[in-house]
Amino acid sequence: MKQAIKHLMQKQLMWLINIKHLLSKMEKNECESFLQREFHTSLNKKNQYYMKKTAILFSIFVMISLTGCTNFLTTQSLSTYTPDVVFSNPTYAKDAVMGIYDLLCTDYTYSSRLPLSYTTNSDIEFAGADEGSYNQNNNRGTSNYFASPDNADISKVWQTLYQIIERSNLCIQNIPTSPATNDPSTKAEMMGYYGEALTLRAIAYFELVRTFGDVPFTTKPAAPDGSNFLLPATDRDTIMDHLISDLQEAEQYVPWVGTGEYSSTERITKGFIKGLVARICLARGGYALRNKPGYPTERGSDWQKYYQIADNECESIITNGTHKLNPSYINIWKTLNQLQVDNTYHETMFEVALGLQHSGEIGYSIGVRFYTNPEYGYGNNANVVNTSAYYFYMFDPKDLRRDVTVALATFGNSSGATQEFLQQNPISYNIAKWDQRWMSAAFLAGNLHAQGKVGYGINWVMMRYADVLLMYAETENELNNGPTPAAIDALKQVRRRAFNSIDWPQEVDAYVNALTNHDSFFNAIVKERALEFGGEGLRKWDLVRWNLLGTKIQEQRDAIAAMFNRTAPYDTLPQTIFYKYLPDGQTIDRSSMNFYQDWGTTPPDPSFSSAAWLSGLSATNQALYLLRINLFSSGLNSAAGVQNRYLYPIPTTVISSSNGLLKNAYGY
Amino acid sequence: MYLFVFALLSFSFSLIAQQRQITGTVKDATGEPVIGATVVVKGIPSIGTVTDTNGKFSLNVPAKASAITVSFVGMEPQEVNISGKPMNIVLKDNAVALKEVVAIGYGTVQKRDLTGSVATVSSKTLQEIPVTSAAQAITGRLAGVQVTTTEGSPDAQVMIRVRGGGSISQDNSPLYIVDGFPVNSISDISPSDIQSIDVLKDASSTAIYGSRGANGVIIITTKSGVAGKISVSINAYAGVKNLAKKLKMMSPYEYVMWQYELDQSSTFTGYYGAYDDLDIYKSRAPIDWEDQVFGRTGIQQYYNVDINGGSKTDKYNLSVTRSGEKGIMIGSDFGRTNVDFKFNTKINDHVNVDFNTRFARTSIDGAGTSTGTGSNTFLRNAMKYAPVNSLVSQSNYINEQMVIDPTQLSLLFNPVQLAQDTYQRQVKQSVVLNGALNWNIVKPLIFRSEFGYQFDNNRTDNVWGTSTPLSKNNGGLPIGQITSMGGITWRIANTLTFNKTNFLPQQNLNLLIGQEVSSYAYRQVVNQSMYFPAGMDAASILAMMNLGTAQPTVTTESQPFNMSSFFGRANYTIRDKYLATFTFRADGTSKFAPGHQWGYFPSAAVAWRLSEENFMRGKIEWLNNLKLRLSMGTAGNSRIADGLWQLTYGTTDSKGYYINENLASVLVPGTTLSNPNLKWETTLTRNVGWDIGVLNSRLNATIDAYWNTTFNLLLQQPIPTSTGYINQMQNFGRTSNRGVEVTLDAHIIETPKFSLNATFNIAFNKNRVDEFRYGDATYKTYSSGWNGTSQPLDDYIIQQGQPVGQMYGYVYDGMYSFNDFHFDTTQKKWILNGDATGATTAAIAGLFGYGNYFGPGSMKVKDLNHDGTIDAKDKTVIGDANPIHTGGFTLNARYTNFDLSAFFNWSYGNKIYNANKIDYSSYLLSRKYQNLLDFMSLANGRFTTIDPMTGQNIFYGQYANPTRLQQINQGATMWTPFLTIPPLTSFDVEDGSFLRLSTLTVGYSLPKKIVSKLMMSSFRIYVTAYNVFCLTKYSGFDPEVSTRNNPPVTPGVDYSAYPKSRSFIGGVNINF
Repeated sequence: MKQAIKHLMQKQLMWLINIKHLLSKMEKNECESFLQREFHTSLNKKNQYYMKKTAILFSIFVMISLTGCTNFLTTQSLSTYTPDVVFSNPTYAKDAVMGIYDLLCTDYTYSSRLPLSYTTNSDIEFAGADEGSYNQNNNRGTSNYFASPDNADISKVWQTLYQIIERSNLCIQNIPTSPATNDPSTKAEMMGYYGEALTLRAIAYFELVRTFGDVPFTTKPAAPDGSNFLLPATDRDTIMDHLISDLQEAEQYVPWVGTGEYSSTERITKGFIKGLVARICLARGGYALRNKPGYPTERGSDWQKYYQIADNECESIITNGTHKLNPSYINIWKTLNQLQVDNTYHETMFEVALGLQHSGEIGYSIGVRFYTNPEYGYGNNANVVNTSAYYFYMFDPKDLRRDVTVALATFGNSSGATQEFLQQNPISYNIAKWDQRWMSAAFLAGNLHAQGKVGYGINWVMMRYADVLLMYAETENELNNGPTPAAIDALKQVRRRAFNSIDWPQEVDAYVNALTNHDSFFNAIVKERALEFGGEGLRKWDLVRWNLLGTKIQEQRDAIAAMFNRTAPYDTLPQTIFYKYLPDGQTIDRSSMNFYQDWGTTPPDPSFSSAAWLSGLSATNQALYLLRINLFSSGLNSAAGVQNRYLYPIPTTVISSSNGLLKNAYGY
Repeated sequence: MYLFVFALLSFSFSLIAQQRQITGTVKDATGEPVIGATVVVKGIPSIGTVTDTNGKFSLNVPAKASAITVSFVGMEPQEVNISGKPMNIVLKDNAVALKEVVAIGYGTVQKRDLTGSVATVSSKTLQEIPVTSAAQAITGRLAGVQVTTTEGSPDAQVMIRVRGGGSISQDNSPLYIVDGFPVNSISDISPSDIQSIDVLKDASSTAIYGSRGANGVIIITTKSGVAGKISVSINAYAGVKNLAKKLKMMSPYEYVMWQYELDQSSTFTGYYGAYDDLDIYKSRAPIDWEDQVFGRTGIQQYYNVDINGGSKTDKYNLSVTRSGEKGIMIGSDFGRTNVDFKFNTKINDHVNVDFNTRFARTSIDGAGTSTGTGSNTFLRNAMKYAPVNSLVSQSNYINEQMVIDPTQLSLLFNPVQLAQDTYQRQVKQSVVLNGALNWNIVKPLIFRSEFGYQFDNNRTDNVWGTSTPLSKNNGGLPIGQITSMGGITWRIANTLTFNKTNFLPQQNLNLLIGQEVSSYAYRQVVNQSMYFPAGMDAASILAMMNLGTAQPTVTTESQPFNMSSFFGRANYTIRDKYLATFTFRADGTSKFAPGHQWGYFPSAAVAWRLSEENFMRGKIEWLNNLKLRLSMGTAGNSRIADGLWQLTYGTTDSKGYYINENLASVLVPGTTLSNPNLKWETTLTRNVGWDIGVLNSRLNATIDAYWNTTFNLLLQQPIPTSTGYINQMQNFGRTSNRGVEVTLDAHIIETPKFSLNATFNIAFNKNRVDEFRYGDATYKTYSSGWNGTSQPLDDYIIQQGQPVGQMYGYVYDGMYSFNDFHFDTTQKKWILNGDATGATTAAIAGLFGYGNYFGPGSMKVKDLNHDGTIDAKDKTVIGDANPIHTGGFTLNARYTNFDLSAFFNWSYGNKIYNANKIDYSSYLLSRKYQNLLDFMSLANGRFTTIDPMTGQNIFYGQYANPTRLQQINQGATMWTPFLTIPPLTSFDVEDGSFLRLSTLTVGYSLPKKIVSKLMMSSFRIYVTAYNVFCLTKYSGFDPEVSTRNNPPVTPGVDYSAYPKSRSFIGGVNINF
């Protein structure tokens, strides 16, 4: 009897062990193979005993499935990682940060909209348009301050910028708590990524506040339960204060360019972060359209405090010496067009690394206008950013930057010719800094067969060292109510590069030395920044923070009218322009042209071609161009009476999903 | 075997005394003798005989014997009382009997015992009309089952909706069960293998499938072997098909006149010539691109051999099918091979094993018509591409290598070249292995264990040649891409059934408990290579992908979709009168976070056979059957993408960050915010139904009324984009479907020589969004997106209290007249009367993209809120994609050896959003050199802006001449198509009602006598015409269309669908 019981208990025990064995298999998610095996065994053995056993086993499965197989329902794709894996080591954490950079390359960020459509219009850059398209609900309309809240691109820009913020927030939340950050051997690396994420978030927020004004602000990732979906708009000054302190933290973690993996300025480095602090400080201390009754344009509080921070940051960049001016202005652009990064001077302090054939309308929507032709292939649509004779004549004739900046000719025409054609329309010049003739062989190979837009891949330069020098000169002048020797030196550095050394005594030393008081120096800065940064997307924001946007745009309109009317200071300009082609037969020889002298209507010799110029244009054309130049930017002073309305409307989709927390202001 | 029985029985006769002889003849319904039918004495199975070659039998029976039973394989057994006279017995085809057994999930039930709402298509119906797919087999035949073939292409997506569909954002397709195994699609089931199709409609029937049954369940049973007889059947047909309808586009002359109106510059005149010379185009015949692309005569072929047989212990069925189709569109081909094998063996008296395997290989050539995004699809190229080339010498445009052709401005592509240059070949292979073990443990207890495994192996090859948009945007060189996808599905189910008749006196009990687990996962590899040498052919590119510039390989391992379920069902019947079914199912899914994975779905149904009650039985002679059914139950839905409950990082993003021109590797979160609180969407259904049989069951009717409510809708809700995401899956809202379905089945005449049957079904369904919130609002607009991200946007609306599928736009009001405008002589443009600042004029012009062409002759829409301007506030509901009723009717007639069958189906009251019409009658996105529909011709009264005398644009600007403009447009009736961003107006919303003679078949069967001499058991030849005619007011290609269904909130859009065809086939069915 005892033995029988013992035997029975042993049997029971065996079963229990079996079950335990099964359970452990289940936990390893081996349900599948086990069940298959068991099933096949059952098929093979006809013996009823085994059948019975199988049946019992199956009923056990039922029990097990209730208890042991819980992992079975919790699955994950091998092609994805959960955040704890992503932030567990520097390699994956870097990939997550590169995922933020990735968003800088969309059409709605630095591949197209932000640098091209959203930094126009100023007095020197505007969206090329005719009366038919100036107020359309498209990007040209947006550039002309006619944006409608229904504009689909605006909502995509908004969305993409917040996507950058969310990806950054995830990195910023997860990196500090990662075990790799606590490990001394990888801490520096991890904190470098942390600093980059802080900076990328600041870039996105800064774009948001200067484009839309007050916007929702969060530094925490979106909570899936919806608790932080609905956020009111935060005052832009509060946001910028936060960004400034974030960046001042970030610059402690990210090294100067040329250190370790930060080998080029296609990554964020210390110098750029410092420069960005300065840029945000100037905006914070500058003027902005305010969401108050009457929508006044007012200066931010404590401007001196912020100018001082900017001054300090610029000074430390200059003192450090990592970033220098490229001695040749034209080479900055040739290098960029060649898809190369300047690792000698590091003048370009941060470049968004767009990819050839993948992204980038820089060179396509801005640059010398190319018509489709057999030599360079598919044409471009460079009229997204245009400039005018006003800008051309702003340059000193000896200024080397003039012909690198303003393109007075298109390459080719609608019949596919392969030479330059003079642009007679004085409000339809292009920006010359991007030119297919300078571009890489790889680009040309692709473009020759192309029958559509290709990704030009030319990096967008977010900041140049020249900007740091001029910001420094400006803050020194403002903080000391007049130029300091340091300010004078900074301005002279920028001007020296713009002229041949033979012209330095007059154009650099005499010119700058004559700027003895605050106002004259400030005005020179206003002009110098126009000359230095044409087409680089800085002018509009400079004019906004100086509260000069409307004034300067009107100056441009008046200048065009004066040119047509031949009134001072344009009364000596020619009515007919003469030009010759260089021996290559393709390029118009700029030095042959009488831009500043009136030679009458007879060519000096028969080798010259001639064309009507400014006041020599037909009355019909003049009237048409005047109509257009007046239409350009005419949304700035809105029909509803809001002045200086440079801010864009918050997209309708954003407002409708905000549960009433967000509203459009400024008469939108 | 019959001989053996005969011998055995003959032997036993001699042993029995006191006998009398009976004689008789056994015939089938057609009057042909049944040879070899078994005749036995009722209650004494040892006494019997078989019929001879004339169907005659004679049998000595004991005196006390009262009746005999006559049976034959494939026919319904019959019991006949013994009479003195020779007996004439007519056996009916078994098909009727099969119809009586209905699959209800993990088992079958006799139709008379059904408590739920189930619709059935029998094999008999399926045999009569050859169909190319299972979905086609049920189109219009079942009340409450709406089948829409979304396009005319051979591989078109078929949209099946059972009783509307409750979910707003999720897939509303029913669950497909083939031989007990859930499958994703029924498109690769060979139609001649189908034994029957049952559709479970109410929750009490679907609840046993729990989670996946919320949108109905379609159960397909394939043919099984039949014991005792080997039969071979051959089905084959072949036929031709042609484009059913063409749309008329403008003539070459009208086309160039319109292009001139768009552009009077040298770009136009340089290519097409000066205005004064444009008359020359009147003499040109158009290049009919529509015909060149879709004008091909398609060829359909179908061959099927089915071998079926077995012994007492083993039964098998082997079927091989090969079908092919050359589509009407150039380059569009389709081929499919199916091999199905089903085997059942009895291991012993208690255990038998079912095994079946299906192999399907489908190849689809050609990229179809919808390829390309937004307004860049194939169909529009075929419709809108320039119908005429320049008649001007092109030498001016030839500059060494490159010809500049202004038609490039159209961004259209030569449709023939494009179709030839867009190589696409999809090969889909699947192998399904199903096994089941049935074990009769003790008498009422049966244990069944099922195991299924499915491998999917799909490969798609694409080559974009130099004339394709993709290539043109990438250096103008060919691009190759190979996408390989491998999927594995497995499933295990165990059920234990307790089935006892007379469990208590006159009470039957059937209990089922079961458990099921399943899993699906796939892996995908995408290889792309670019910049192949121009002129390299597709086959070489795919064979030598290394010759191009390799792009990063993208691999995806899916998140396994796992499910675990437990279920039970009890059927209880009392005295055949009172029937009750209770079902309960618990489902766990990997779609949700732990804690939310399980859903519980109970249901109950009762039925009462009133005709069995004493107060009815025999009282009303004409009423044979009257049954009342009531049911209520719940079902769940978790058909959302995997992994939505947790944040994960993936490796691909749109553009890429190219440090030093090298792509940086990234890890990025998705654009949908995770939601760990997701839970089951639940549908509560209530059903009341009547089954009525009258006049000796010659006329049967089934009437069902239902009310389904779906709670906790799984809804992709847009969330504020300041979260960094676009949307999040949430459980939100409530919808309902209410409706009535009637099915009538009449055997009008049934004689040996002549029979006439008719079936009719009609279904009314009303869909309603009961609860909906979006922020503070109770509505939200959605975009069908046929024009990409451009207008018309927000063209559908979901509103609380209204159905899903409401088209949202402006009310068309003809065109503006000269009385509406005055000409502003300073701006030289038209300004609306009463618009002092010109702001309203500019706003309306901007809204439609009319630009400076806004004025008299512009399309006009109603200012519904009378605020003097047109804006989004003037939009309203202008159409509903839901039909009021749908249905079908069939007439089957047979006279001697001829048979005729006609099948009609219809839809009434639904609207179609004719997006093609918008595209083909506007200046969409300012693309010039695109042709328009013929109704836009000047000859048809289009308003024009060109002075025919001078060729000048006198509408606005330099040459503006308001008086002359009015003079030349006096007779104008059609607005000017200068709209660059056309809105959706009621002009484009059309009545989609139709009545279609879907199939018409005439067949002839050889008489049995001849057939048996040819060693066949039957031989039938037939001809069938499909899509014979379609009565509709719809102006597009075909009213049965819906091309924008993802998410399913924008039904009824007709954009770039592959046009439907009309086809004629001839075929043969042979049985040995």
